[in-house]
Amino acid sequence: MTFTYAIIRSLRGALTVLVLLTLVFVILRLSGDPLDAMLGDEAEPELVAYYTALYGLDRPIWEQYLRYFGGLMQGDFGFSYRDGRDALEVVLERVPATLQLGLTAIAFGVFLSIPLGILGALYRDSPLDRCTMAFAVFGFSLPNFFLGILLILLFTMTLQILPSSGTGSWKHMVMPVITLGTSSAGSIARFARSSMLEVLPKPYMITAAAKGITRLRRITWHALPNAAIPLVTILGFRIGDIIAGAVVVEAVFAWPGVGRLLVSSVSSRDLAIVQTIVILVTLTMVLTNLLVDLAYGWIDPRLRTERKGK
Amino acid sequence: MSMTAKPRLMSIRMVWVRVPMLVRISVLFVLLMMLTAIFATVFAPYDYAKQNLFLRLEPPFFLGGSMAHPFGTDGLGRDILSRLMMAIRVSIAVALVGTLIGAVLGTIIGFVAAHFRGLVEEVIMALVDAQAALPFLIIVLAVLAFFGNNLWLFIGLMGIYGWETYARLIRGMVLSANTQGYAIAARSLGFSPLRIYRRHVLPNIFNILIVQFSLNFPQTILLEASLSFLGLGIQAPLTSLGEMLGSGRDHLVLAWWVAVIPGIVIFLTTMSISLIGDWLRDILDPTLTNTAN
Repeated sequence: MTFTYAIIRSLRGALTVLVLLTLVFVILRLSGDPLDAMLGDEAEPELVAYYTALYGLDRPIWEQYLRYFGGLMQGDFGFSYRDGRDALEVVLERVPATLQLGLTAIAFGVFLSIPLGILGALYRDSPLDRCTMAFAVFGFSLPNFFLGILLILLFTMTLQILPSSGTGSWKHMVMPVITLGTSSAGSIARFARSSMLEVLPKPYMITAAAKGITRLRRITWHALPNAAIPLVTILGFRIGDIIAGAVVVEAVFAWPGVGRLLVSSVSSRDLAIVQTIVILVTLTMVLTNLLVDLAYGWIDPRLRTERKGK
Repeated sequence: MSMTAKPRLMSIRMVWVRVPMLVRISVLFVLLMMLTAIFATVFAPYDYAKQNLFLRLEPPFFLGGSMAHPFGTDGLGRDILSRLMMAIRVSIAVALVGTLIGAVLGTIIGFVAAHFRGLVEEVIMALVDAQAALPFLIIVLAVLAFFGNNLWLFIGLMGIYGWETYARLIRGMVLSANTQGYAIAARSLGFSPLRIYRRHVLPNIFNILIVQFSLNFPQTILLEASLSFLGLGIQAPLTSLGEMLGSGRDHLVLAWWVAVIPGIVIFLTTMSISLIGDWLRDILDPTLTNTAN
């Protein structure tokens, strides 16, 4: 198989993580003395000296950099200023809520948008197709925070059937999931449509029709698998949008996830928490993109031989 | 490349009749927004920051309010129409400046990468990958946490947004342009690389830059709006569309219009620019035109 390709691709991913971690370190150091934020301006000199030695802030910058790296490798992400707890622990506590919201939103987006895109392509220029395209433009022009507020106005204020904030039941999930899923659904629908349109006139589709295969089978067995290949990459890109969207959507619906923790940590400048979240998001993104890239080769045999040829 | 010469021969009216209806409406709407942004303080009936606690949460005219405050008043009795005009100015100015900085920065970096190749290119592409690996909203939030919030830093961050798409795009375009006849001809005439890039390569890839700009601009508006909505962007007493929406959220029960009116403006503005951008891409991007024909 394309073992070398997988190795090279993983190394590139690792390099990206390295560059980002270094940037975080540089920004941390540029933003001023970390002890100022922690101890305040009027701290006792002895206390400042103690923490300076403890955190190694009197060491040369390259040694601090190595220590920072070593710390991260051992899972030492620092402490939250607000309650002195381990930053990684505080963040990990919030991950399940965000995963629950994010994964459901992706599923909602995919199940809504891919059929829409396919139908749009099959019945090109029909009213259905126009609706699909209108939905797509709508989906990525309507800001998620505004959609969230409109949903709250409709379902909580007017109809009074859904709670506007918190967690607990499936009812709590409906509005956050719709809000988060709609924006990606728009662009996925558009992409699915153009991907399908590209496949439909291909010679193998004509051959299949000439062989007398039914239309339904032609679409599900011949067109769909081929149209799905480029869709895998777009799903990879969407992960970033889902993460960014979750920050906003969690704020709108008071969802107790990582996004809300990030916003409150930024407001109170709880740097250890912010840094931990940035690192976790980076790892998630790089890993997803790596998996998508490898999956791409696995799904599409043509790419595999192409890469081998190189 | 007759594309650049043709439109100049046509009058504006001849171009206008070829524009689809939806795009025409979008162009008119964006013009209206631009004019509002420019003349915000001239046309505004009140000072956008003037409070009147006796007139809190007045309804807009279409809900039975008076024409003295056509869009009603907010939680501090400030005139929503006046605030909206100011918010449009701030949001559009921040997004425009931000998108311009990103375009210029990314274009220059793309040229540098394509010109020097080797290590310079590798480093630039590693940075491009790094930025693409993180949602930009997260990057902005991290920087705001580290440095605290101020307006200039915020505008600078809007400028950094999107540079990597330009850098990647321009690098590719320049690399392929360099191998084409006109660039080789200019080089063999002994022109300096800077002159070749500025006078020969840049005009040839300008269309693509314009398209990218029109796709990035609404994204920057949305980014500003999201951050201001979260209370981490434009700060009161200054206002922006996102800030208005965010503060209007507290009055949803009593006065939904305080949040919904700026929301509609954001939505219509980003949608109009996206529609114009899509249309521009269809007519300006030569790779797409060829396949369409």
